[in-house]
Amino acid sequence: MKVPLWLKNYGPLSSGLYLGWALGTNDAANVFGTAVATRVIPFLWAGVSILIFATIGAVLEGYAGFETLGKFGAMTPWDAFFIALSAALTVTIMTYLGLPVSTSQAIVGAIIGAGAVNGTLNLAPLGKVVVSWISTPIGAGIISFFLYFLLEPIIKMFTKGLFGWDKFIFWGLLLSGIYGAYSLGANNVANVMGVFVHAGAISPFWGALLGGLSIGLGALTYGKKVMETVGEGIVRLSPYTALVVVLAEAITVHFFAIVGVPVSTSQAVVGGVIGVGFVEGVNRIDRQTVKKIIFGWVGTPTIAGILAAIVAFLVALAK
Amino acid sequence: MIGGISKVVKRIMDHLSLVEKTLEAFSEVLKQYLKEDLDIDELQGLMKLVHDLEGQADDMQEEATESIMHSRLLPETKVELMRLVDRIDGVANKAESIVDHVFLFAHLQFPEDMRGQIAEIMDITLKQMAAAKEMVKLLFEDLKKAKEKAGEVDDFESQVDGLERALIGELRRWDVSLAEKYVYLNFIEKLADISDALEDVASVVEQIVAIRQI
Repeated sequence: MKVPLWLKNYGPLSSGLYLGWALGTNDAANVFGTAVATRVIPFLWAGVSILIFATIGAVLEGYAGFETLGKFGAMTPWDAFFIALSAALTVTIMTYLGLPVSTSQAIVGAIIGAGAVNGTLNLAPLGKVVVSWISTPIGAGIISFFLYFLLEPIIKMFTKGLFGWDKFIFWGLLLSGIYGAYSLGANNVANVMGVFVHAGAISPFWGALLGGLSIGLGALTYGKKVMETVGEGIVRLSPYTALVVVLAEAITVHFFAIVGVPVSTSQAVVGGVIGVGFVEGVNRIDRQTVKKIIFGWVGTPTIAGILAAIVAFLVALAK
Repeated sequence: MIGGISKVVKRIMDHLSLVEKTLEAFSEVLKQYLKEDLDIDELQGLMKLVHDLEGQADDMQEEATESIMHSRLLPETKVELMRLVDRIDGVANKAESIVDHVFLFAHLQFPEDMRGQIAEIMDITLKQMAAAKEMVKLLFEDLKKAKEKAGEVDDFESQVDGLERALIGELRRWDVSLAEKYVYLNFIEKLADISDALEDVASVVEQIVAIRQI
């Protein structure tokens, strides 16, 4: 049977777009969860903001991540399809099982697993990637610690009366959410389209555009429930500390977008929460949280790697 | 975002003014009631005025609640403001309750010195009301000053508390039957409840400010 040309050319992108959609549904909560769960910002505003600003972030600053993931080794568009599919399946299965999962860590694991089977693996960029993963919660923690103090004089300037406070929280959550969406697109678009750009299936610009849109559409179509669930966890903080956490997460993720390593927004949020905990004298580090983070660093790439290796092996057999 | 804010402030302040008027009318009722040569017609006219003003305050409370609900304030702020309005309305309710349950059933003949102390409680309560009104106004303008004003409202309550205890002490020594003592005690406690209700308003304001302190 002759495969239609459009399917041959663009078919592989489907798994990346699905991965982007899944990423958008999950990670939207890390940028607008608080605002939506507390009904400060309507879900539609949050969803549309993520769609617009994640796409802009991806198009303007998503390219460094493409380069880093590309350094792991050569691949064909269909290799890229199976890698993204393995990562997407890992994310879906682990989410279904209630296990902590990060798309950034799943895609790297899948690239390594498939590359090992295909004999194209280059582990040179792994050190930079792992250091970035570990630095994400630590960095977000440090940033949130200092932001807590830095924002204090600003909030005091605007919050003389009761409604000044409302205005500050509303605009603070909206703007930090927008910035978070921008950072999410800039950083995580490499997870979605990096392998396809590297495989030559799509140009960097179109990869960034489609990847950003898929993340945004994920947030807009299916992000509400996750935002309300995950957001409530952050809401237990005061509105001010929640604002600090979201902003620290956005700055950290943006920083790693510039560095060119896709990182976990969820782990950045956890780091931010721990950082404000230090300021307020509350110990928010429990064994379970640490376990989840370490599992994200080790377990997720391992599972995705094994899955991708099996898929790559089966594909090689079929050839 | 902050749509309908001026309307919210206006309604809350209008409600507060009506509660203050209710309390002022109540103080006139009390003055008349404490007179030895009680003018029943005048007293009834004043009591009706208290009822009318309390009814108007209730209507304004509904309007204030409506405007809060339809504003674009943060959900937490809406809940806090509705609680505040509810506590403010509680002040007028306490005054009306005395009119309903005490004045209607008996004309209590307090001795001269106790009458003076009762009048003093009422004077302090009126000052406390004015301070509470200023406190709520400041809540919208300056949280720090609102908190200071809440402290003043609390101080007035302490003064009323002291007078209430002194009155109860005198009541204990007063040579009347136990049943009569209970009726007088009920009156004194109900009168002091108005000041407690104003202290509740101050507590809500203090909580609102505390939550917003970093």
